Amino acid sequence: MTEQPTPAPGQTAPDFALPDSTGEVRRLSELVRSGPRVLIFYRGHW
Amino acid sequence: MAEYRDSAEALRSAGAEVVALAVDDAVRSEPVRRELGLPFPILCDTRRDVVRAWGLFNPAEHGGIAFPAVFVIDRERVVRWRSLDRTAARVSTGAVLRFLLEGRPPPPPRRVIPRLGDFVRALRNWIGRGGTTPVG
Repeated sequence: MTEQPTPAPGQTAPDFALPDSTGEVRRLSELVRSGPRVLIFYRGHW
Repeated sequence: MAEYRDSAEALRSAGAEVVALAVDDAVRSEPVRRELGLPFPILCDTRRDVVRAWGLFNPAEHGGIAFPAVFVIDRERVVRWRSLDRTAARVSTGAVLRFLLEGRPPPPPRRVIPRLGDFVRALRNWIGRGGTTPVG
């Protein structure tokens, strides 16, 4: 997948589905269904 | 992450749940989630598909990781607020909370170059103190 522009305020964010650390698959469009989400991208641990 | 753990309840009260995302796999992320007691999920973007799709892929470090960033995404998946923290420290949870509670972005950074009026006022104050340089 090629690098895309980062979604800006007012734009629709790209949907995605990813497993969480317990193995449960989470889809962004489902996460926001119950209300707004604060989505944190972080560097990770090593 | 610890700061967001400590603010998760306040963010929830302000109407938003938290979710975190990194390129680490579950073997790395799950112990961190447990040890820090994070009350929100950590998503594992091991293929880097999402960080690429969101323009947040940093190929220069550790085999490719995410640039730090925070978004507020509404129910329609529209970005309401974002902070891209590529060079500075991560945005504080206070700024996110302020947006959620007040519905407006945090104030812009202070001007680096003071306005002329501010400069004149500072000069007068300095003269008023006898022109001495403050110590400490």
